[in-house]
Amino acid sequence: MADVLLADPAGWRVLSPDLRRLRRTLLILGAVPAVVLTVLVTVAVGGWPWSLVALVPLAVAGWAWLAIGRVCRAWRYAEREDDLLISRGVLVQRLVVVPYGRLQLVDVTAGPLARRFGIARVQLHTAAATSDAVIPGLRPPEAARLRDALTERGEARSAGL
Amino acid sequence: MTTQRGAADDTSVAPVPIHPAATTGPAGRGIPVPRSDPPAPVRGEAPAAAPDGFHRLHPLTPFLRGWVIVAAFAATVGRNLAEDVTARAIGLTMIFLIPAAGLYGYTAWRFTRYRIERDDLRLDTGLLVRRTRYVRLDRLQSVDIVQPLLARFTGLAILRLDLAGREHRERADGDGGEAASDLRYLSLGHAHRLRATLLTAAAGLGGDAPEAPHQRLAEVPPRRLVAAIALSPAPWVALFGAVAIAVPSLLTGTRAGFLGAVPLLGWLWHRTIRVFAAGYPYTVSTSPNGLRIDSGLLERAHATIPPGRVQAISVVEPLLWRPFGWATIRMNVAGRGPSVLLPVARRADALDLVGRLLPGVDLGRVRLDRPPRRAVLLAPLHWWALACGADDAAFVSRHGLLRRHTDVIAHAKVQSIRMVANPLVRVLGLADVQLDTTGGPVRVKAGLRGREEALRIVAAQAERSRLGRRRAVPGAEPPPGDGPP
Repeated sequence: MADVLLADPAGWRVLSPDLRRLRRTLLILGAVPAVVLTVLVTVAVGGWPWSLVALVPLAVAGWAWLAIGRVCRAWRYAEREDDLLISRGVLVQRLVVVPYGRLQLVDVTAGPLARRFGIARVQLHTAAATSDAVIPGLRPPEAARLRDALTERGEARSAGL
Repeated sequence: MTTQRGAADDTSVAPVPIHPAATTGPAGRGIPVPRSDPPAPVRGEAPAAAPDGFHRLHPLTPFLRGWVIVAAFAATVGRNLAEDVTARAIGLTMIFLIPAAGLYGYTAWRFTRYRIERDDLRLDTGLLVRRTRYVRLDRLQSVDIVQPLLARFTGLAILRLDLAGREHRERADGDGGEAASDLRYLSLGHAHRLRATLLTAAAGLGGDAPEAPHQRLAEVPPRRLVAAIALSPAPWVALFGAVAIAVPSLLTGTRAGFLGAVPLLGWLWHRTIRVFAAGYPYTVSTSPNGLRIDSGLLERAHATIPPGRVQAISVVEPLLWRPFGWATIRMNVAGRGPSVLLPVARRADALDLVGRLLPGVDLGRVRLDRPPRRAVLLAPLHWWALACGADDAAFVSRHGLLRRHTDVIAHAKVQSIRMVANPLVRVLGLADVQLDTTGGPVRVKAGLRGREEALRIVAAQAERSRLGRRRAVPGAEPPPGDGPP
């Protein structure tokens, strides 16, 4: 969406599909018990026809399944010469420009589940608490490369406060 | 430990002659410090350094801190007054409480010490959990002297050290928070000398220095302040609210109505007397150490903001002040600096101050553009107040129909740029652009721009900020492959 900012659309990088896999796995882990529980409760209380109520959590889960796909596809980032672009969001669309010279620290985190799926999360901090720059699903080598590149350029272009 | 005395000693009793040289820096490098601007008469003497260079806080500290505990107890008693609390119960509690508070205060004082080292201020605290905090001098954002009322009576002061990016760190270590790197209490004279030393060290000059001479920029005349308070709506709302509640109960002869009016009277007090006491006398001056703000009638505060630490400025013009051309100036400072630059100023003075703090910025010269016509649908009234624009020094945005805000941020101070389009504004093909700065009252936002225009603003601002940062750091190497435009 940002042709003004990035002349070459191929400069955008996308997230690892493993993030989608992780989030959908979590969704299934939550949705299956919810559907089963709804069926059991409704059948026990009202009889078989009532089990159709279970379609509600099923529909929600289906919608969430599609939403996860769209959100993960919309989440992109691009390294420009002096700043990092992050574009994300389907419903609320956001575009963040973080200059390398303003980076205070770069966090790379990977929880136990994320490690199982082979992804890590990179978060950029500036002196402003409102800069909201997160890249959630990167393969660890790419996350490490990005972290090193960012800190290196941050040092080269560092500009006080 | 030459100054170690019983906590009960009075300041006027000085059993040990104290050499002035020991007060200003490590290893007695200090020279007696001439001050161009003698603050209030200095009563308490500065503590001498121990042989290892450590200083103690002022020996009256335990009293001022213990007082807080007693006051908290008194407040609790006051709240429980409905239940019958006998004088004997209060007396008994006091018998235990006062020594406990005294003991706490004394040990806290006894185990707190500080020393200026080469690059840091070292601060040791704690009896059970010993903590040593190193405050990096080159990270100091500002050094303030604050005198709460009680401290002012005793001639003491709090030296408040502000560091960059506090928010992060406070979340990270979660201890002490606010007060973690305050020195409370020092004698006023010692606080002034220590501040001068710290500020010179923070500016990278090292050594000891006298307090820098300063030049007055602006002050608030009391008559204008009173008029400004009278022209703001909050006191009148509070006053009429209180009357409206109290009068019916007076007529019917019940007392309950009065109790209902008490919070409103408190609010009235807060918005009139307190505002006045904080805003008069109020002086803004410049010195080589940075911007100085001296304020307060009862509680004095002396803040110094080193050059270039002001991140963004907002000129706020309430509706009723506009006929007189008055404005409040607020600002974001990196760290925990003051957020008000001037409570009431003439517009011309305000523009002049903005130009001094953000060099090269001339607010009157920047051309501001309104958002597209269709944005009226989302902002039927305040569309008329919305505008934004930029020149080669700063980005300016305006908003607010009743309280008109003109927010300014120098290009080099932009931390990050965001474009946000929520579903509501997306329907009309609009988007908001926000320029993030460090925490404070000023939020720079260009609301409801056309989507293409918003993207252009983001792109142009990224470029302007890049150039601004490069200009701000003359020593920095330009990135390879792109020369000046």
